[in-house]
Amino acid sequence: MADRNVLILALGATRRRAALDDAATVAADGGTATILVSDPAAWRNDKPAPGVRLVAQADLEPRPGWLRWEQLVLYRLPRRALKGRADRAWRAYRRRVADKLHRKVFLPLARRGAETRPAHLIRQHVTAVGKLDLVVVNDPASMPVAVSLLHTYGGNELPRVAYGIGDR
Amino acid sequence: MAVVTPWYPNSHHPFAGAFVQAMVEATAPGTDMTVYHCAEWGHRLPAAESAAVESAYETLLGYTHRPPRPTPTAGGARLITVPVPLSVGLSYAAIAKRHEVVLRSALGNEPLDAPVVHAHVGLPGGWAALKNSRPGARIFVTEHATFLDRVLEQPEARAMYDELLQHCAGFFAVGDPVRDPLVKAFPQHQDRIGYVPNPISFAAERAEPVRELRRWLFVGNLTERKGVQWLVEAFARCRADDPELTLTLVGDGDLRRALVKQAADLGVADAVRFTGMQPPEEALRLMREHDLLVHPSRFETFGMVVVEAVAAGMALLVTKCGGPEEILAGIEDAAGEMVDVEESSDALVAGYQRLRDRLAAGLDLRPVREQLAGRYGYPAVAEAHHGAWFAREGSDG
Repeated sequence: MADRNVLILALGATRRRAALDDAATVAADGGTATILVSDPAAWRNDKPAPGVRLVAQADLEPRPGWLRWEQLVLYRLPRRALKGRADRAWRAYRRRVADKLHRKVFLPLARRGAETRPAHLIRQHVTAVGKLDLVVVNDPASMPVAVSLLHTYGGNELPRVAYGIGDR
Repeated sequence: MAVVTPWYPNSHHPFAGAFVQAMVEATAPGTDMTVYHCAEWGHRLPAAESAAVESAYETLLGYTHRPPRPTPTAGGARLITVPVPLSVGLSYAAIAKRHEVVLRSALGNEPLDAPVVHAHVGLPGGWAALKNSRPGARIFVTEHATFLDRVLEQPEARAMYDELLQHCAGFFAVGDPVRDPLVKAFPQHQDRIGYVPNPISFAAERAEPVRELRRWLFVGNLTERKGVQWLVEAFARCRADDPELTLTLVGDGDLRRALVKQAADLGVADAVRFTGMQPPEEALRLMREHDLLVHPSRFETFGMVVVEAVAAGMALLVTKCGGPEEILAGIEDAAGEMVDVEESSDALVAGYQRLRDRLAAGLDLRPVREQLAGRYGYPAVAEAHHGAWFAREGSDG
């Protein structure tokens, strides 16, 4: 029987083609495939098959409401102010000022006090559509996360684990 | 029997180890064969994270299967894929030892359950097989590596290679470009290093024989070693005389963007098609739909694509880059044109013009196809392997 709900852990983005092919196979069999990634930018040239969800790990984290204002002040308003000027100025501002402030000041503040527990968040997300049938560990960087995810099950109703759809 | 290989075609690398798959397809019928593909999963993680990956993988093997589940593969064999997480930049000795350890772990610390083990590539495949075979097992190795000279430059890797040669029952090189450096490095093992070619399927034939050289094809990695930048330049020069010429490049690599730009700069972008990587069967189908294989490589240990092109009935324009010279020795002119490796497109252009004129004069490619089928066809290569593997059948259990 085809797996209904499959999570493909591809956090290292080093075997993207295999992740996309595996996800496409699951979707073609009528299942739900979620590819969990760490850096969505690394996947910008890759198009998942219809029905495949590409989810950034950071998007699973709870975000306080004020983070929207931070995005407005730090990114959207400056982008508008620099509209029409050379793209180079915008890119330099984003790299040297906005990204640094976001990463080093506002993101840690947003996470402070919140229990993020990545493995629980991943499980919560993928099981929202039903029981998780299979975890495909797609690259080395995903291995520690896969172990943490499996530990959240505590031995009950464990999903199967494979390194590719072919050897599930 | 067991086959241990670091290369085997998969969805991430459809071309990697196509020759190993061909060997399995040719030799598996009539045997009970399991292929262990120790697939290298390279990463650039910091040391601490790399250690965490190794520890996590050991845990994961407890959740999956030891070894992971087999899937059917070519020739009725079983394929077991064993990921080998590797930090990029390790020495060849360290890589081989990692393969050894990971395969052992995946096997649950049990040896390979086979009286005959055939490995591909001395380090890491041969080493992993040697260290994971059961006592008394006969180990064979086929060496194909284009990076063999770099392996032998590293003292620890060289010592491991020496140990491997001492203990294996048979060692095969796919051609002189592989055998020569081995014999030079290990003259004491000279008599143990034999030949066995990669098998090629001659089963499918093209609909019509080649009558003109309009549809050019390249199959391989788009890297400097393959000489592809000279190919695009030669194509543009030849197309200036014949606007109906087209070029298809099957494969991918670091030079792809530069080649797309080069084709545009030379005004031939509309005649050049980049298909990206394709599974072996699709590459073979494309061969039957093209007229001329241009193989401008700087160095090849064997040159499987050259034999495949002959099997597909194509004409050849090939550089003297090692393996292909050996494959076509004595039949170069009947197969096409062989030209010197040059850092320019001149030899390719001149070779194409000569071949075009010879084809118009009635060059017949069929006798070459028949001759190579007798050397590289599945039955011939399977017979050579089975003769070595089962020479002492009955005494090995």
